[in-house]
Amino acid sequence: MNRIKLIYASAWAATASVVFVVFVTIYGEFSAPFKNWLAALSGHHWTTKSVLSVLIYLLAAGIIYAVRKEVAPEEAKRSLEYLFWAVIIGTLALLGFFTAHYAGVF
Amino acid sequence: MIELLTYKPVLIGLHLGFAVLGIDGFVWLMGELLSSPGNKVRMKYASWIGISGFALSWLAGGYYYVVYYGTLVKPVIKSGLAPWAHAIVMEAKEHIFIFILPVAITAVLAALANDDIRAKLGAGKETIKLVGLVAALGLIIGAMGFIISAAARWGA
Repeated sequence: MNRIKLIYASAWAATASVVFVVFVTIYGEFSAPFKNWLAALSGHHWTTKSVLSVLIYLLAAGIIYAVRKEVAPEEAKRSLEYLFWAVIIGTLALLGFFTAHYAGVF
Repeated sequence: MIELLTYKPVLIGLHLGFAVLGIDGFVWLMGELLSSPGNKVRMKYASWIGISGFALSWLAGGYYYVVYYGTLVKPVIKSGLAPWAHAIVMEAKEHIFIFILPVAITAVLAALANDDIRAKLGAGKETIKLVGLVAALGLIIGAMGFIISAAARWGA
């Protein structure tokens, strides 16, 4: 197994998972039917988001690893940096959104 | 046994206890990475403790959240002195927790790469930052959990 390619695939898959959770969570607050659909899939919207985020991580990692023939070390290094910022931005986006939502901005 | 594990105070204790193990594992891993080259055996132990801790905390906390929180705790907080503790802190916490594990696994993949790969990758700083971020997120989520518990007590 190519470790550099694995790190690259995992970093992008984790970034996809962060983006998915943030997007689905915020969209769900604006669309009751969508949130209800998420809840109907597993019995609770949070359980569905959790399961889907894991599936997205595993699928994206597998696909990226299979599709990319070669990954330069510099690309893998950058993917770790992008993941770092995706987590910070995702965390702040969720905190900011729920604060604004509570304050009645949205 | 299942009855004991799903007892509410036990679930909260498991959620918190495993999260503390997860945070400790990643702080330990960060220490090993900072003391370059770090002890490989200890790094593996730290990584396994970290990832297992966060995974088990997710399961225990998730079960508590889905089965008990919405019906027993949320109404108390929402009608109490700090309804924002649910609307902001809990809502953000429950979703931030979801993406910890994929990030933690990625950080461990980079941290546990052999010396040749790590030298080729040249991402020592990025790896340490990511490992530290996982530990920091765990601590922030812990603080959020404290706020939620306190709000539930104030609302009682």
